[in-house]
Amino acid sequence: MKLIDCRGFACPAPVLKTKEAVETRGLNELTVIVDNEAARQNVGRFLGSRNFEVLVQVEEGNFHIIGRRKEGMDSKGVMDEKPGAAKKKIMVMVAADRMGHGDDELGSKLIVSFLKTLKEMGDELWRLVFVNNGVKLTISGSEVLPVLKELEEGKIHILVCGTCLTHFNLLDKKQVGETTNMLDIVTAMQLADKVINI
Amino acid sequence: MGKLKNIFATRWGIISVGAFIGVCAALLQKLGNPGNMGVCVACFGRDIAGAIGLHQAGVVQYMRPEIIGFVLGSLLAAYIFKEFRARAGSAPIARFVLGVFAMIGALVFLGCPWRAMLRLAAGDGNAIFGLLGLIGGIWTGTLFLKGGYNLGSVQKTYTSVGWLFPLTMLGFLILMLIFPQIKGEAKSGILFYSVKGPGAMHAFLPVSLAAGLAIGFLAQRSRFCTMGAFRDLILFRQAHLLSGVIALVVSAFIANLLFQQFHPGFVKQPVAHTMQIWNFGGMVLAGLAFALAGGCPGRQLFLAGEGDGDAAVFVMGMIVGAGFAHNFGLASSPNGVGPHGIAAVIIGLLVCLFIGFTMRKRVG
Repeated sequence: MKLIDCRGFACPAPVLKTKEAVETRGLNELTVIVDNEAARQNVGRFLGSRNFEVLVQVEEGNFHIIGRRKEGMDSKGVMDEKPGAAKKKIMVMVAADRMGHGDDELGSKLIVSFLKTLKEMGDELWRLVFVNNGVKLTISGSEVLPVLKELEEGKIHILVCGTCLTHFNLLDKKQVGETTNMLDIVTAMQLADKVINI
Repeated sequence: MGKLKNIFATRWGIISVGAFIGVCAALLQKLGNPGNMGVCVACFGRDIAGAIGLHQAGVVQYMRPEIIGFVLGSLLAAYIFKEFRARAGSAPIARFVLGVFAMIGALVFLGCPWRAMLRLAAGDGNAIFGLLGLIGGIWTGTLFLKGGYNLGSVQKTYTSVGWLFPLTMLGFLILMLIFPQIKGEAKSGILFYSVKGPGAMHAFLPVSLAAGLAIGFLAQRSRFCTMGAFRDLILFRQAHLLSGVIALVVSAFIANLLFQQFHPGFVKQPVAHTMQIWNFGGMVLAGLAFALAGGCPGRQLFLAGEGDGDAAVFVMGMIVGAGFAHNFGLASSPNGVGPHGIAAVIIGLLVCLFIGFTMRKRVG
């Protein structure tokens, strides 16, 4: 992924550089690093207007703006540069409301215990994604809601699959995390150093 | 928090900020500020230069609390939303020189871009030529930007560096309280106060200060910028900032109608002249200088409030430029351009071209 370092520059330089990258060089994915909020908004807005999906990460006071073109997602872009990979980024993907197969009651207990223990990963735990039956863990009445809220307050990104919530008709019952789409999930997988599937 | 933090950076955010500034300006005029000059960063900067004696034009000397409020309001917003970042070191002398010539260009037209909008919203047809000049100047600036022009990167610095300019403004406010205006007197202690002319027209100090603080706060949040409005439209086909500027014109227009401050025409407009070539030319110079420096005068004040030492140097350049403009007879008056105004515009354009052509650096 192309990395454009615009730290130290005020607008319009970061936007001009981004424009050149996506229009002249035709890049479909890029990371722009800026160090101020105004530039973050301007670059984000510019990429948005050029039909890019935009994801922003804050690292050491800098903003990493990751843009991916929405149409023509054919780029096989394997990352050769990881933005500021100082510590590991672990992404945990929860695709069920139980852990493992066999006894369902046991599985329910285990997933609760698993999520409660997850914080032991410390700050390497980066993102928590709920899909399929997993989304049921994020709705009102879920036993692990307090645990998830605590994780979210500790700056862990919690993403909840919007399609799944809609499918189960639970969209307005979700109590924690951001509703997300498959592109965000795929982007997160690519950015993560390790993806754990439950 | 994320949503709250960015509410003013949305399309509706910038539109409401622009509309708020427009109404504030019309109201400040109603409450005593000069005609079509509810808010004008160039004129008010010039008045401040007069108040501290950098020039002796007796009709334009007053320590404008709006300007002080802009900087302190921005400082407050930057601290509340954790955006205060002390930074400096991106070609300060170039920014100073750009500030000097931006002020000279604006004073040949008689107004900063904000006042150009306000003049238009009050029916002053001469403002059209100023606005065309402004757009022409900014367009020229975008050619340099496309060609790789920039003033180089900034450095993080001591927090106290970022505080120097807001503290200066606070100092000015304190001076104003120690040496308050005495009716009919041209001087109070060390400060000069106009007894007639635009400098003698002003709203009540706390009202001016409160309006300045509110505008400064909101403009810091929304990044309101008149130069950026046209620059982004030309460079990126983005109308985000422009929507705020249009909102300013529309709201000021409506407020002017309500306050009976709308008087369409070209002649006898308040603090304006009809030499259209120089209304245009002055703003070409100002627009180019703003584009090369990265912000209109208002935006430079807000940036200075959030810790940008280079923007502070630009503002200092503007204040000193106002001194030159009046001491050397460069500023216009309702009778037309000053004796050396035309020469100053030409020299200013040459200086801007020199800066634009010679200062390039690769980014990224």
